[in-house]
Amino acid sequence: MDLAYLDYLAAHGESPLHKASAPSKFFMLFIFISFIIISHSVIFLALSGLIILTLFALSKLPIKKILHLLFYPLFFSSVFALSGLGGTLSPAALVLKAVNTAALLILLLCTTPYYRIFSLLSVFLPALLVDILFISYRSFFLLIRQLSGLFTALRLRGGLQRGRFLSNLKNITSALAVTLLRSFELNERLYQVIQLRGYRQGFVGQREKILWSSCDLLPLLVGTAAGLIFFLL
Amino acid sequence: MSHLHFPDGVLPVYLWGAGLIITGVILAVILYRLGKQDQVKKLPLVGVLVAVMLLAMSIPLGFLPYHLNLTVLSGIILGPALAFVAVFIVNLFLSFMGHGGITVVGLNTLVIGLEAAIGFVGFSLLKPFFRPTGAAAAATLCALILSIIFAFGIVTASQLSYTEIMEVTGGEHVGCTHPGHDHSDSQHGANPLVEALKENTPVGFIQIMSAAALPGILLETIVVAFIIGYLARVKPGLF
Repeated sequence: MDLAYLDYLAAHGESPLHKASAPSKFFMLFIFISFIIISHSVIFLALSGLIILTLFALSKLPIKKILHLLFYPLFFSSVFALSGLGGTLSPAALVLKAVNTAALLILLLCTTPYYRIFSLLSVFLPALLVDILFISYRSFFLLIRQLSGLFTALRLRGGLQRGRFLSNLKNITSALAVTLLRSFELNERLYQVIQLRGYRQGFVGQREKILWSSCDLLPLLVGTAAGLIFFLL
Repeated sequence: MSHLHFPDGVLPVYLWGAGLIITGVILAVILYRLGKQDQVKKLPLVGVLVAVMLLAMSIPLGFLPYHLNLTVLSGIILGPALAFVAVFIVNLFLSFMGHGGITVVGLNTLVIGLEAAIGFVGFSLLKPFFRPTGAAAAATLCALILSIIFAFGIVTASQLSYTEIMEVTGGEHVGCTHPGHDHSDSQHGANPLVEALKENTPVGFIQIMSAAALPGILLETIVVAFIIGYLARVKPGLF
């Protein structure tokens, strides 16, 4: 679950999907996911998978490096399907539903920086919740730098070695405990900053102005096409 | 995988819809109280602990296909209400990474929020009698086992048809959708809930997932107990 890497992909991509605005991508996601969830047709779900794969290719995303993220929905839905759960749904449809939806969300995350996603979420979510989302996001990147430093130190001192699972686990746990302590310090500092600036709910401030461009046509068309395919099949 | 994150598309709409509504109501109450009580001091702590949970999940554990969660740890530090908010945010982040679905964010939050709440209650109850490490280990173990049972309950509920739910909840019986479903027992006074559960409990699924979850549960218990022990030594006022 490499959040930092996905964020890097979202911030540095130059494809049309990267340039498209967040609302148009949300529209595509909403339409696509809705139809994937209500569909029972394996053909529609397989076609959806192909469309999503094409979108990944168009976005020039390193599919091989992201593919492992689909392991969890694939595994869980497979267990669901193999156990005979899922009612009238065929096992293939069940797996495709879970994997396609997850792939769409990963596509959104890889092509849209988090602050844009939050900006849009702030329309639907309470201000307090969006504030916590922002603090979490910022804290994650502050803390990951510290944790990476700790892990480098551990590796250099032979604290993480192949085949020594218990010893590695002990050292990883120590690193996490130290990171947690530092997170308390970070919490104190963030609180002081909030106090100093005079906190009022919704410090995210003004929502980002949406700049529509020709690139928005891609997600809008894909979303509409998904709907058309659903009704045609 | 000490707990389950349901992916999209595997559970019926009425279940994940109910999950979203219940989670929404709980969140609204918690956030309303948080805003009223002017608990600004706790706001960054929730955010920072969400970040720590996401960081812990990012750590690869060698050959084991598991990740740490630290949900119980967050529950112990934040308390059940704020931990519920933290869990919701973590689930929201995770759903964008394919780890648990977006439509089932509500259900996943309920499952993992329960884990945090049980962890908090268990630790609070055991703390006077045991050392922090032991209390944390026992609380984590109980919380993880109970949350996974709750998740299995959700999966079992997803196997009940509408008519069975109506029977179980005492609603109007409108006929059975299962061709081979014999209602003779329920007509003779047997508990319809027990009967419906007997027939629909997905034993195979529960067996597979229990076996898969067991190493994760042990791993999480050890890590949380160690971290709590460490914090109790270097920051004794925390607990």
